[in-house]
Amino acid sequence: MSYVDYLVRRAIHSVPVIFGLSVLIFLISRVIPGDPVRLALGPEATDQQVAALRAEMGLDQPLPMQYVDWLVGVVQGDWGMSLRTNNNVFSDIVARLPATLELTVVTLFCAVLLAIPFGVVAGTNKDRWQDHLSRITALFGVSMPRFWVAIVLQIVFVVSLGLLPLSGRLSDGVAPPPAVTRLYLVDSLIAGQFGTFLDAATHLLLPTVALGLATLAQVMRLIRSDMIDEQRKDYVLAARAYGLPNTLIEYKYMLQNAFTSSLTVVGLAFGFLLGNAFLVEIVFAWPGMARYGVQAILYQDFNAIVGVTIVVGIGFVTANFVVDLLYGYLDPRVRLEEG
Amino acid sequence: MPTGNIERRKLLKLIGAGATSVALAGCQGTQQTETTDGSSGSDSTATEQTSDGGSGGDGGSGGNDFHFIAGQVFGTLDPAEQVDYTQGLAAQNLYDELITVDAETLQPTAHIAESWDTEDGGQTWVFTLRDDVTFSDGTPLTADDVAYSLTRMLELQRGYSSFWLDYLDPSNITVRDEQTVAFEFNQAYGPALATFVQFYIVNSTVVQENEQDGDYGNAYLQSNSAGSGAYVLDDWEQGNSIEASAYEDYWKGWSEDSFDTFRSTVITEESTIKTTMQQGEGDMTDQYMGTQAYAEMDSYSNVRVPEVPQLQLFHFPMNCQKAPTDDINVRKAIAYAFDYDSAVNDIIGGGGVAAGPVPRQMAGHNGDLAPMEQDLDKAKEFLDKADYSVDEINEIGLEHVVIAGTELQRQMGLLNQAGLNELGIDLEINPLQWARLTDRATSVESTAHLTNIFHTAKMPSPDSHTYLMYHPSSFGSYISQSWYSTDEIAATLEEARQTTDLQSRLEKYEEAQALIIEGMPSVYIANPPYRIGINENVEGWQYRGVMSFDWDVHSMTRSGEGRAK
Repeated sequence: MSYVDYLVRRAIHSVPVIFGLSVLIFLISRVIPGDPVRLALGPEATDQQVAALRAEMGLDQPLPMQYVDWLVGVVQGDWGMSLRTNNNVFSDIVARLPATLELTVVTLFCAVLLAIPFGVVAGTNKDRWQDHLSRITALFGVSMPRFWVAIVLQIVFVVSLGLLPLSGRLSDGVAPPPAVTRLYLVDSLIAGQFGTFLDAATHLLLPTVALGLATLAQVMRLIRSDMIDEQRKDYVLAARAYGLPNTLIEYKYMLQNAFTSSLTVVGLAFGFLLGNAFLVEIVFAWPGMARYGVQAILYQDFNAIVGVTIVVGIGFVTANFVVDLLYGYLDPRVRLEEG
Repeated sequence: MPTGNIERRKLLKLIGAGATSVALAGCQGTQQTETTDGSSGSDSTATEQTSDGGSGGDGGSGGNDFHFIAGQVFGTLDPAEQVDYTQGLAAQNLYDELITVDAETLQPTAHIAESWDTEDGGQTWVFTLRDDVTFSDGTPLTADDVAYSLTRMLELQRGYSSFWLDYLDPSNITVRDEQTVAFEFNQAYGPALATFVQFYIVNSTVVQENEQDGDYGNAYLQSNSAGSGAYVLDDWEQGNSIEASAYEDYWKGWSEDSFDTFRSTVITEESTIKTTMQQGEGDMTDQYMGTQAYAEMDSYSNVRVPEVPQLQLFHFPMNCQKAPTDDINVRKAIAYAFDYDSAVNDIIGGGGVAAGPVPRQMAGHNGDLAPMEQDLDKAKEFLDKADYSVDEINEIGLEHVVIAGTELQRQMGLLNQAGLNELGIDLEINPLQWARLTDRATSVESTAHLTNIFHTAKMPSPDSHTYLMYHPSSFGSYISQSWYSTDEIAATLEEARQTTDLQSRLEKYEEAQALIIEGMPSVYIANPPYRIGINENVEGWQYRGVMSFDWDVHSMTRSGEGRAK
């Protein structure tokens, strides 16, 4: 099987997953108890007002018809009206997704970048102090709730030390860079606004740490255990016998094999970060999609719930697709087995 | 696979080059920021110079900026749709209401309408408008704008249009001259004046020019303001922030220390809100945080937390049409078993025990009504008189609904449970999301036996705490979960609505309260205090009774240099 065939096959597998997810979430959001229309209109709303809005939103139609209407709308870019914002959910998400994407991508990048050397050092120094330190760090990272870590970071770095900004994506008075990708780090570089870049980067620092600690811990421990396994293999003994430098053996040959299994976790971690970013977005007043999703759930804003879930689902599927792509690239045996 | 290896190397090189560029760019940016101080430069640098380098400072304009921290998003900026406090905050600062609330008396008073009169025994209300009011585009505000704005609300059927939908047809809105407009209701409508505090006027010319598919300019007003308010919308990042600048020719004028810009940022996490205030980055908070949060903010040297009696009722409406709370003696037993002192002092942390449905500070509250006290002996006496035995009550099962996720709500449920346990009654506490609660309130069968409800005044009239709670036409809303009325109560409330003389109308409402209390349809617990966090360098704030009216930024000024840190 060629690499292209392999990719196409993987892409086709993703379609029923997204479709199934949309049916499931659409149904769940419509059948959970509660009356979001009445809630949106406020306590004094008359039955006449409630009925009018229900009809306007097509909620007086049978459920299958509602789904078909919604699906047709999705294809045309109309994801339904949000009861909280009165906007098309699609435009709401488009406005907020870049903030969440910037946060999750930077978090994942930093977590993996740090997890690799920490995991290698821990794995190659099994049961020494480096390994114990990584174990304690991992335990802390996995067991501490993200929102708690976020609040502690604020108290230490903002209130006590006054080193970093408290919340938001940019400081007061700093205008966002001209929108190209709406990722402030990227847009500020494109516009040559380096001060804005630094400001955006400092605002990202604490949310990134709070969000990424658990991912860092997971990937680090996985690399550590895989490195330990790799150490016992013949090719490592052979490389050592040839007198190759340890750094070369560890970071070039062993890591490539050890990282293959971590790749799955990294792919899943992206989806998890996208879905769980709300814990950090709420504390840091980060104007992202995840915070919007939480508000949608609390106010039973069903179109928004479906929209956010679909986007997170697409995030999961895309991340796994990229992982598959990298798998096939790093280990050609994978795509050959598919054939 | 040599080819693959080369590609991988290329890939690594590219990544390395990218990372180096980013790092260099970052360093370059640092240098540029440091060296451009005080000099002219690119647009970006000019913008950056206004920043103090952190999240503090006085905002984008570099002028006198007012920063309100909102705990929820701004759902809409169209004043015809506003129902909650952030929407009210936007309307209050971008638009003008026809009638406003007097901060001293908490009664309706002149604003855009400088005087008014009634005709046909109170059926027609005639308003004379000020002639010095202009919209932010400089055009004068006239009776045509008022007529269009109210027609628009009635046609859109959103927001507080329910105040008038049953009483006023758009065809009965008449412009008599440039400054005079008349509303002919289909019956005498006493509370009309009070309801017009929730009526904001839009620039009819601008809105009509921007109508799309008969939407009355609704889409346009989501991202633009077209009002005569003190501030003009600059930017709205929905779900995150709103920014507005002072309208120079605002009809009420400006003082030297007035705020040049008004800004609100959405921060929902309590700890972040507190830290923002502590760091001197915010001027004001809302009133919806936990009691402890306000106590903590009060301990900051740069924040004060005023506490004033509020036009709000906290109570447990009892479903009077569902067994066993359909028995008045069961209801009285429940009311006497409740520990009011603990609820007010330990859980709410201030305010006073309620005396009937109308808050004590509201004009029209019946002063003859005494607040309830816990009396277990009396509770047992009433229980003995009831048609249901304790066993029967327990067999039916008594349900108390509280809002999920809020400690205060849960504690109130537990306190009620503790009181009823003294009588041998089991109480099931059922936490629900708000959407579910409002849904259950739509029918007698689904409404719980008891429900925690905060009911805040939306207009300066006891009508909202009587008619909307105990008139049969109001049943089905979360406000009227007692499902309680009598012919006498209904008739008295209807008479009150039809009475246009203020004093006579208030007397009718007082009479209605006495009648309501006889049936004990609720456990009236508290009139909670109103608390918000205010930066020490903000002056002029006054509680005004109706939701969002105290956040009229124009009425406040800055004292000292910037925010107190």
